[in-house]
Amino acid sequence: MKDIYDTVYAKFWIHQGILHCIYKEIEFLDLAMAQSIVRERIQVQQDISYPIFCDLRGVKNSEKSARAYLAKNGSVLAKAVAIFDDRCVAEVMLQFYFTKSKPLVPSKLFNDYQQAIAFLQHYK
Amino acid sequence: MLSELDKTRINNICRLLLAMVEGKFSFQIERNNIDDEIESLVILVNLMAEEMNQTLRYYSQLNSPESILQFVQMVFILDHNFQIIHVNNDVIKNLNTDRKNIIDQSFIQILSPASKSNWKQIANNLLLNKHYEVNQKLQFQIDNNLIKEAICNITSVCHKGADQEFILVTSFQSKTQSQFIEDGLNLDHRTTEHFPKQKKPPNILKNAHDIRIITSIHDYILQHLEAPLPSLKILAHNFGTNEYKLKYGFKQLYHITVFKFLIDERLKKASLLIENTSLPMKRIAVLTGFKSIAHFSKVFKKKYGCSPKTFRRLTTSS
Repeated sequence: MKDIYDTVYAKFWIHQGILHCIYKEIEFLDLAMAQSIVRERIQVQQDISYPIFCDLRGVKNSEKSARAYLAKNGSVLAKAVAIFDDRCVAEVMLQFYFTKSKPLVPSKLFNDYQQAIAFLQHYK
Repeated sequence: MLSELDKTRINNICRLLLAMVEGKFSFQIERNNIDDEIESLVILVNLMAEEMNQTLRYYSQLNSPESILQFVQMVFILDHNFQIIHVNNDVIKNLNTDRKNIIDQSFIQILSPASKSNWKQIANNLLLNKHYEVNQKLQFQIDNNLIKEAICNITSVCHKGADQEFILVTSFQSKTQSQFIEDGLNLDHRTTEHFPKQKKPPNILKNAHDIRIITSIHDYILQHLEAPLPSLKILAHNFGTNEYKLKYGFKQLYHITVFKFLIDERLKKASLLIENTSLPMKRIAVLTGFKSIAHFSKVFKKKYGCSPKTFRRLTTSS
């Protein structure tokens, strides 16, 4: 039975060496929320770096400073990030994020869970 | 054949693009829950407007750091029932409406659905506290017009002789927002620190190619915080430029020297790790590229005013 850490903005658990981060319904992700999510994630990790599976489907909109913060500080104790989002609008959102905010660790968008996990296996 | 809703959505995209043509970048299209190609376009146009709003302001101020100012843009005066009794001309211009559509309206009526709930909370606080003041990002929206986003200061004002309070809502043109000042560093302080008035920095970045090189070096530094940074000469050569251009170009673009930027970013990462992990300080020093714990402690104390250990104690206890 895995431990699930249920926080205000996201749920976290570690499964087979991969940290799962599932964003809750967030209408507008601002900087304070992004900071809180990164802090909670680092606390969950208990000093260990992981490849991260990140389900972003709950996020409807975000502000630039929040995206910049996630791109930079989202990489702390992260080996790689697979972003999972199967919405039609995800590609545009993430393409923009990758181009402008430039995440510091290998990051890729997936609309298939298994492919996302397969990508992360290389970074375990 | 497009549905009425889709026609409205496309019309909104056109309106935002036209606003951008006029140099108005602080508008946004209201999002909805439809997951389709039009919504993708809405997102992209919104992102572009946000990006241009911040980038253009930033570039326009690059060569005149002393001129960075915040100035009041919109002013609303509300009575104690939160009805609008006065607005300045910028309100009419920015919200693209007539004065008669605003005066005597309840303030909440001109806010977007997302901001209405924020306002309810603020209104409660205004009712409960005699002297209340808060800064809050609000989205203005009249009918189904584009959303105008603004950081506002909301203050209750007591007028001598008057029984009731007034509420003053003012919005600002916010200061330059680039990634490196996301932590809210004081620009005035930066300006005087890095650009003494008597010594104007040389204008190095004359074309897009030079700017691209400097931003690549900026990204490289962020991606390699834990590794030793080569000398400026080698770093510059690795990216196809020279030491002089790197040194002054970086300062011109980011208002900070390469080494100060490196140390600042290392310290930000270190503070995040100190606050949220139990990693030993020695390990954190290594992870953030400091060669010795003594050097790490020294620069940390200089920036945060206390040693890393004290910082951990203070942040974890709070």
